[in-house]
Amino acid sequence: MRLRRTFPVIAFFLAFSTHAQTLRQDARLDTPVSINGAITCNSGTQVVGIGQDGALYVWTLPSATARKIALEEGPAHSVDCDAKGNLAVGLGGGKVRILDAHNGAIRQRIETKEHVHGVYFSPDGVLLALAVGESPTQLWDARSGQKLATGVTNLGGTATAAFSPASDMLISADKDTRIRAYNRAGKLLYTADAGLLESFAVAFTPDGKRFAVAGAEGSVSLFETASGKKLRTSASTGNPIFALSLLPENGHIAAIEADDFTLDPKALGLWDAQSTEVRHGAADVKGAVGLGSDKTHALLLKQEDPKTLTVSSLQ
Amino acid sequence: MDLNRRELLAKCAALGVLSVAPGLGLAAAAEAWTETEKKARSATPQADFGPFYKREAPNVAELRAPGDPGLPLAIAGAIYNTRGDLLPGAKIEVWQTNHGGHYDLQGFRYRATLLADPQAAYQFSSVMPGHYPARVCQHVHFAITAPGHRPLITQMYFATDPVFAGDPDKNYTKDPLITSRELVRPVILSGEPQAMIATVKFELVLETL
Repeated sequence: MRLRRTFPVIAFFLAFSTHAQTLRQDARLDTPVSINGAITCNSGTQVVGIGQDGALYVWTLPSATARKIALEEGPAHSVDCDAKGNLAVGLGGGKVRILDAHNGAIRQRIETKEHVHGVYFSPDGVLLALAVGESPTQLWDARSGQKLATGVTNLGGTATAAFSPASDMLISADKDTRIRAYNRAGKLLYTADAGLLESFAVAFTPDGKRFAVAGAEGSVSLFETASGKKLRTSASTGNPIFALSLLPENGHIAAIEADDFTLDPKALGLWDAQSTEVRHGAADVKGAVGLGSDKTHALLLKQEDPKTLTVSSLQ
Repeated sequence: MDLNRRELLAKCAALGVLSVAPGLGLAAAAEAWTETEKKARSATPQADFGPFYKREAPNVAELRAPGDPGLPLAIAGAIYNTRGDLLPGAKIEVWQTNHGGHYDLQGFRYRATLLADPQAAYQFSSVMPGHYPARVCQHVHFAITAPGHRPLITQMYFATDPVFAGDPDKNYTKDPLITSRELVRPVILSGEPQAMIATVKFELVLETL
């Protein structure tokens, strides 16, 4: 299953510490069913997961009890949130629904002709980018439910995407291995190169001035948002990277690496963009289901056991 | 009353709803029309791109190096469009795992960029790809581009895959990413027991824009 990002996963562990990084468990959340993937919303105060039953589970921290949102139209495949408490949910059959995260009320219905495998909400809740089939990114007005624009690729569709914190730019990591930037109207601003292999994760710095991209190359690249200029690239970890999170506190970048054979989570890397090496702690990331952030830290979401989802901050 | 195409054209001409250019008789027009329709082909079904495409793969037709483990494999075919026209010069990118189910992410093993020859044919040698945990079936990825045509992104599967238990008609849906039975191709085994090779024919048809 996929959340905002392509993220083949499963469940973490209490706390570990090395000279490179410390992971502190902040919360233990009750999970009525196993969670296939999860994201953080509202500056890390909310966790939204997709259960194995296809329902959404929403935790408003510090409560450990989930609010279940079951969608009558089918199981959820992907989810993202805006900064106003709305969720965008991708269902089967090309359906996308905008929901109120508090009560599950449907605010907008979007129908596409192709399978939706990724939904990306602008923080202001106005725009929605969709990764559909093997077609380029689609940009939709989340309020009116109208399609605004379709992006471009040389080949294939979109692997993942992310809006800038100010919602003024969309970065699309496409399967033709190119990175494309669009404005709010869907106009292509530039095309950038992150490597010869596909990128699976895009994350912005909190000020939106830079964004990081990572994927099958196993390295993390940092770009200047305004120009698309590649600023730095880390050494390759040797493992595909499936999730990224910027640490607001110090600008470091956290990355979940996967085994290239099983695609299971394999390691948690931390890159100080001033250096080249991605450092690794001793963490067992088996069971990781998502990577998010709060106002100061990257947050690792992990299915600890069948009934517990842990939220741990990377210090 | 059913009319054949020649009779239909004759009737249309008589009624004034059809005219034929000078030099092209009704009989010849009917025959050409029929022949044109006979050439028409259905577009090859699209399939998932997968996560490990790598651009700029080398233009080599020998993907299998001497001594590589795995059953030697030869895949060949031709590139058409839905009108049945051959597409010489079409660009064919292929990628697959090795015998053990591993994609080469650091280099270009089992990856190639080919160009269809003047007869629009292509061929390459490889090994039977392996299985890996995140995917049910053995498969080879194809991405074909040609000017004036919609890019074709697809995958080819093997009727001999153990997953199909000898009955791909019945079992091809065991891999949810297989979009069409048509993509599961028959395999011909040939050669001496010590030097056996699997051969697969895979014709590819692009949609005209």
